[in-house]
Amino acid sequence: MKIIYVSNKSFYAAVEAAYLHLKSDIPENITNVYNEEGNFYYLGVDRELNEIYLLYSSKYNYILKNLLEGFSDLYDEKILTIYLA
Amino acid sequence: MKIIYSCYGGAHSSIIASAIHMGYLPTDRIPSVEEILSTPYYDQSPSESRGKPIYMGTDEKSRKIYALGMGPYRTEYTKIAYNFAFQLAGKNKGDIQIINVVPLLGCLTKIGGFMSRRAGLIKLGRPLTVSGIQRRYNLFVKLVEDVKKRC
Repeated sequence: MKIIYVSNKSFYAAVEAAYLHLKSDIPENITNVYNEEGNFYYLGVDRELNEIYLLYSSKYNYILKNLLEGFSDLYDEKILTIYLA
Repeated sequence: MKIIYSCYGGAHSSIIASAIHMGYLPTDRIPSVEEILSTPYYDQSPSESRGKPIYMGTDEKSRKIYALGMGPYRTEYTKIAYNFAFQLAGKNKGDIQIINVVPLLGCLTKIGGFMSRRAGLIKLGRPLTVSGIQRRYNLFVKLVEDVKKRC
């Protein structure tokens, strides 16, 4: 499964949550690393072999949620979206 | 390969473009009101289902055809959709094409779509959308023919 931490405002919270999930330390100066909107940043694999991703979108709403779910069906990818406002 | 026709609400223009692509609507004449209204999913999608691709069929070249409403953030969501395919699903760039149909929309379809889908005035709005589609139908046909050549 792919777990996607999504944020629109408090992006740092999403990064921190993702690294907490991975039980890993947050790298320094992350604000300049994961800040391109619309990119899926792969962070690693957790103990259950789930792939962890970060997604920053300032336009997050129910349409994006539907889009991610819809595309997971299209590509037969099991995903879990965790939204941090 | 997947071809996704996208518009604002996923109820009119993307449905018409994908229906033309699938051969549900003619390419040599303007369809009648009844033909447009009997197109699968035409003026049906509720606003809460925006973002969910609607499967319209598989064409003669085994391409899967979808209609999709992306709301007001079409540019941003198109990028995310492509990135999902390339970065998460690991597909190559030839696997998916998202075609924006919104530039083909006229005022009649926009107003009719708002009345029918947003305001719930279906009896007033639906005929306006059909009239707007009929007026610009040739542009839809040209777009689909171009997409079929390119993809």
